[in-house]
Amino acid sequence: MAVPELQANDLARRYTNGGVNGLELQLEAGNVVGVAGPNGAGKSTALGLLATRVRATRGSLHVAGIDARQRPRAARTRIGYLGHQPPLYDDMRVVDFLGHAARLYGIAKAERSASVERAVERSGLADRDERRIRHLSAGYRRRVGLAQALIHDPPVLILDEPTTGLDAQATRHFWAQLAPLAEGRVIIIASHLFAELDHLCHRLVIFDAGEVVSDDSLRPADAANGLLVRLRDAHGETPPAEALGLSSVETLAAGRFRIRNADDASQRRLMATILERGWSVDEWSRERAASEQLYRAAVESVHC
Amino acid sequence: MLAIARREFIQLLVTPAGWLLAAGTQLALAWWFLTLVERYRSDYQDALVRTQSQLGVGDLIIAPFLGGLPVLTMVLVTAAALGVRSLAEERRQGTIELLLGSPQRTPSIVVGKYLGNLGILSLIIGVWTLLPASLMLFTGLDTGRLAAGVLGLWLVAAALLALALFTATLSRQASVASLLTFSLGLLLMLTGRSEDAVITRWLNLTGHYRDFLQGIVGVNDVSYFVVLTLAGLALGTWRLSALRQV
Repeated sequence: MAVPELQANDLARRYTNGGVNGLELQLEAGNVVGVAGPNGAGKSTALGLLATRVRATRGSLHVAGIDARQRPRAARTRIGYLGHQPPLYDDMRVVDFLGHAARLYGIAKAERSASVERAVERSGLADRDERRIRHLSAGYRRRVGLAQALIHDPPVLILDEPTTGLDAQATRHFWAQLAPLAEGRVIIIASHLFAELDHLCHRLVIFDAGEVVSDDSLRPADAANGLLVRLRDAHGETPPAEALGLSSVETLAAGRFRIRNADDASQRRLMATILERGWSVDEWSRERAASEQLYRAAVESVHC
Repeated sequence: MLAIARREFIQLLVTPAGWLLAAGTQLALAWWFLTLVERYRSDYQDALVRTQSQLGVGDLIIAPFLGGLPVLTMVLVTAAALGVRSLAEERRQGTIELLLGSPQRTPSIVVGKYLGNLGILSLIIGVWTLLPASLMLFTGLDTGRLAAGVLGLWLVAAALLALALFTATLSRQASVASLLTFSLGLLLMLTGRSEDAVITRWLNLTGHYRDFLQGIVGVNDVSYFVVLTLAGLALGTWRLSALRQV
């Protein structure tokens, strides 16, 4: 069995009005874990605990074999962290800022420029690395934050709502940078963007009121692009799946069909079939992301 | 630690803040210096020649210049501005997270910031020193006494900067941190002036600075400033440690 890169046992931090209780997590290289939960559920505290930025009141945490509660400074050399407000010096150029971050992480002078180049490359900053940070858009600033978190090539990368405040395009670009980073690395990412969590994460941990209320693996990513339809023919009967004229149709209960990977072309084809045959459409909805389903099931079961 | 000191030092050189601070203080002190020179020329010079007095520019220009309220105020203002900008401002903007989340030791962060700002403060004091040193062009000057006075001023600045770094850890509001630094500095300058208690007299900052202006570098006075500086750095480290892992 592979040695866990990150192992938390009964990790807790209590505050007067919240905190995190009994966090259990065991992650190996290559694991990408999404963290979700309502506001104030304890996600940021949990990520702070795992990043050694929040002092635990109980439990143990090992990062790459280092006892992070006993040796938090040593553990930090193995952890990259990015919050939703990246700590950037606006007056610095991107390369200078990353060079400064490399010095802070004790990277030797001989390796420093290679580390900066690698972080710039991985974060998609190659065309902006000579710019002053104050001149960058919000999306690029977030990428500089990611580059800073990666400067010491950490085996554990923790991202706390890294795309908060970004527009849709910048968010998409940011997530696209994350996918290749997963190889050989643990990534823990808190986000409210379920579709993105579905694409990137293998597992979803859901917090509520400081407790983990769900810890499940996620379905394959293609489920997130599904279309749910409910159809009736002229006699009020459900037509057979073959009649829909699409290859990726799955018959569900109560006359519903799921069309996997329902892109624009297959939706147009289905609509043409429906019009041609005079069927009625009782339901036409995008399938919710798997993570969103897990989230709703977990959080609503607690609150309802 | 050196990475942090380097960043602090360079940042003030490449942004307008450091230059504005240096130019503003230099302008105010130049006015104060020229006032002293003019008073010496019009009120004292002839009388000193007439009475063959031992007093000279060292007593009547340099000592009042370096020991006067304008210079001490400028040292306090400059140290407060640098210390507060260095920590309170970083806390307010959230950039302190880069340092707190790094593997650097907390004392290294505080000392790194201190050294970077002390470098800038030393440059500023160096520029101030050009004012009294310019008298060498016109008259014989006791350079040893000038050097002792400047050393004393530098020690005052170093101690106040350390205290400013500590007060900057107490609040993320720059105005509050500045006010705290200013109040603490004034307290040290005023305490023990009219009391006989040994402790309060020992705490009096200007009392320890006075001997330097006479050209005397005493171990007791140097120790006082070293202790004050170390106390400021230790308190700053203690506070920052508490902020580091909340």
